[in-house]
Amino acid sequence: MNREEFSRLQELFQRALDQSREGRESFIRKVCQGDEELRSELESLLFAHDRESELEETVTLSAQIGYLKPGELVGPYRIEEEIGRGGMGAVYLAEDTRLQRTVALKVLAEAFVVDPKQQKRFRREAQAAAALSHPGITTIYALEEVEAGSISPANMCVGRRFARWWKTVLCR
Amino acid sequence: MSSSASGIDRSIPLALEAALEQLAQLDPEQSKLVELRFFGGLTVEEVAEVMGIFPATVKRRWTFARAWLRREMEV
Repeated sequence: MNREEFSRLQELFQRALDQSREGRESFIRKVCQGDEELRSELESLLFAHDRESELEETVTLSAQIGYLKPGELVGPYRIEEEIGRGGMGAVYLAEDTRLQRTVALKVLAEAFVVDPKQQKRFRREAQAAAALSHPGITTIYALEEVEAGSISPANMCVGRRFARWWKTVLCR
Repeated sequence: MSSSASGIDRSIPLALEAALEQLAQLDPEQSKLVELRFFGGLTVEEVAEVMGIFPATVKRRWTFARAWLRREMEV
């Protein structure tokens, strides 16, 4: 794919999203006009987008349960305060009682804990973050599974921006 | 299930890196947006200001970028 084709793909993707769900298929057929490669590119991107939107819609409701309050213990971590919340779970400022250090704790909402696919996604995200090394990216110290669900403590970087980064990750 | 950092699958960030690299070649603006929004943690409004484009444009491009990255990562 070259830049021109990529830019056209982006444009068609946006226009396809503007269509009603029913009108989308005929829109794709019309604009691709037998260009099977373009059609498959477009369809796979729309599919990826749809899965994400569906996910966000289902989660917002189910995630109401499973949030933690200050003082609560999750494994070795004591919750201090909530710093961000999204569809998949929430991020807390917490104390690692074993090492007496402050960590950012990301906790998967209860609804996700029972879903192996979501567990996998969560672990993958933590693994990706753990392997990347950049001053702007948080360091993952551990990924633990305790009774309350999957947990990924990160080193705490105080600041609005950090909380927002987590929020972006959670809500994306 | 692996619960330690030693069990990290190194191929995942590579997949992300490859996807970002490809995006940078096909559309440098798009890749800058991803960098600011995802790695920099900037809000839609902040990205709009930095890049000198409308917030609505940022939103649309971000939607596309997420679909793109998601698809590339799941292959």
